[in-house]
Amino acid sequence: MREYVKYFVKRIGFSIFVLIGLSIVIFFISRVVPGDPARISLGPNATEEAVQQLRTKMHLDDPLLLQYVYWMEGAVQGDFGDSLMTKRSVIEDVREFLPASLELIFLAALIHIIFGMVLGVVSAKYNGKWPDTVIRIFSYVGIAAPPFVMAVLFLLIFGYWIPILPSIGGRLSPGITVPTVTGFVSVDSLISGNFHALSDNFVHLILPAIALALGNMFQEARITRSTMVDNSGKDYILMMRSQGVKNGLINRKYLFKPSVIPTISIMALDFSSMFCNAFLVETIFTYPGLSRYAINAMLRNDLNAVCAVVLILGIIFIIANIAVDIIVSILDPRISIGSGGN
Amino acid sequence: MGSEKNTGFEIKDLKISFKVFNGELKVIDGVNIKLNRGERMGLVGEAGCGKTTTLKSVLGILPKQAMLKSGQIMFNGEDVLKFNSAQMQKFRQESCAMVFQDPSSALNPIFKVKDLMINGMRNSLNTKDKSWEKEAYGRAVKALGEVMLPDPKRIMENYPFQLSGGMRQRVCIAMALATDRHLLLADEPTTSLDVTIQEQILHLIHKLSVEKDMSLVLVTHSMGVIREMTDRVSIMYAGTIMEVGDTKDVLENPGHPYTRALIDCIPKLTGDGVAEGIPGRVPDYLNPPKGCRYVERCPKATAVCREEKPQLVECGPNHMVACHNFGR
Repeated sequence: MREYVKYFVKRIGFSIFVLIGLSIVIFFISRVVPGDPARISLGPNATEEAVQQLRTKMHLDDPLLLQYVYWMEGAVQGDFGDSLMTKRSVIEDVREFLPASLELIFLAALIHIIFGMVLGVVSAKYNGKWPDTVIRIFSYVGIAAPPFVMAVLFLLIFGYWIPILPSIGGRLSPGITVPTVTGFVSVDSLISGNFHALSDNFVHLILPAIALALGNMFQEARITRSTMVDNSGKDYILMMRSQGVKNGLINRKYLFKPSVIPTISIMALDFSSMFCNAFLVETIFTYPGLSRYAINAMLRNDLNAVCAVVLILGIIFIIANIAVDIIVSILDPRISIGSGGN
Repeated sequence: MGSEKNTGFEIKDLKISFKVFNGELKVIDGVNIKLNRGERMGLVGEAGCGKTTTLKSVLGILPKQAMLKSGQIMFNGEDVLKFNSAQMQKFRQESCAMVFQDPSSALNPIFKVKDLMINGMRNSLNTKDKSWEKEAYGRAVKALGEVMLPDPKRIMENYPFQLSGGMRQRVCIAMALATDRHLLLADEPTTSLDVTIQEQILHLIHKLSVEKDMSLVLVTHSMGVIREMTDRVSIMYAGTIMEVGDTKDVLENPGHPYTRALIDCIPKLTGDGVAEGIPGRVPDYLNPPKGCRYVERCPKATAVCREEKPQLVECGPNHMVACHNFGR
């Protein structure tokens, strides 16, 4: 157990170095891209003097290393400078857009984790029979079609042909507001007891979340299925069967538990990749999320915003990975106790 | 649990094929094994000749691609192959158990020995009330003691990966013997263990089978093990039984060329170094030879061997051989 705690302390310590590395890379890349951020920010009509003033203010004339030190100094205090695009401080933008994206991604994660496993288990159980075949066909389609195709398709179906869900984005319908406490509309509406807002928020979230989740869901279903089918022929399952243990218990416990471990490991990656996929989905649904913000920042050379978003996503990626490692090590004692014999 | 009824165990003319992409692998083609209660039978043959498949078919744990073509597996006068799933479960729970070849893959790596043993026998116990778990725990500890594991209570709390290979195999044997079963199928129980441990495990199996008056089918490659451990031996080649008889008799007067070749493969202390092995290899199961399956490798093969499948015929007291050349 102590080894185990030590391992995670080490992991977290190592993550800090990863973040520093990431910050160096993203900072220098952002400084070598062509274009003068000060000029872009002020527009073509600004005077040379004003531009120069902004350049000095942004430390753009200092040596790169010094710029990095200034920037890092601010970053650890949560100050990433001002966004050139929104003219607000970047951290304020992040505070507004990150919860929106997280809300979307959490719902998508919930969908793909639950249904991915359920479909995988069903597929494995009916291996080679029609439910497996149907799920397999949908899986190939779902994995092959990128989330934005799904997004457009869903909008067309549920927003236009069968208009039961809002096709205009945002997090809430116009006219409904909730007081901002956490920034998560769903949580805020729960806190304020506004269930109408909660359901309205859900209605806005569900389509983009499904569009985002489908690819991962089918991927996870496939992986769960194949590990379960593989493992069902393993000696340790045959051993239990040969002892006359009931099939239900074997499947539920001795087959399922070892089989979900690989699926859980890839969930961390899936979770992070959703931030990238979220960009197009957020754009299509005009959902005010961080991914859309980040891409717009990139297109407009808004370097402060880009650096901040990349760092934050890095932190989220690391947290997701560590969380998954903890879950996996709880499920698999070989990791937490250490495989002495092997 | 009905031990009076145990009149023996017999496999009659078992034929099993495997469905594969380009046809049908006719792996088991006429296996006949008969052993009386308390007898220890060795099953010898080279790799890939269907020994494991035969044992798995007894417990109904063959993979899905396997197709049972014909045959009977008689236990206490009932045909195991005709059992419905409830009867099969009862057979597994009360009568028959198997020890697998590789103990490190036969124990689920992420559960404690305690969990595996207790749940392994939960349906094999007569106690159906709440005390079953306690009884199962007691039996598990006793069984671990019987397989000579020191400190059984500590082992119960261990995960399989915390045990050595020999200890794992002992746990597997303990699982098989924790309840009073009458038939033990041991599928090369020592192949994946190192030599010093092999000896211990074999002695253990022998001792327990005597103590518990259990019939044993022991699959092995080693003629030495056969001589030491078993009363009777069946020589198997490519899914058919070639020769069967009392161990001593078969080893001293082998009737089948394959048996002779196997015995010649044993390195001799006084001999001319390492034996050469049997040239050739196991036939293609997709298109097995029409007649005797050993024909391609047999030095004595004649025309009739290619055309006609030899039947097991008496060649001595309690000794049968399937060879056209015998007695000629």
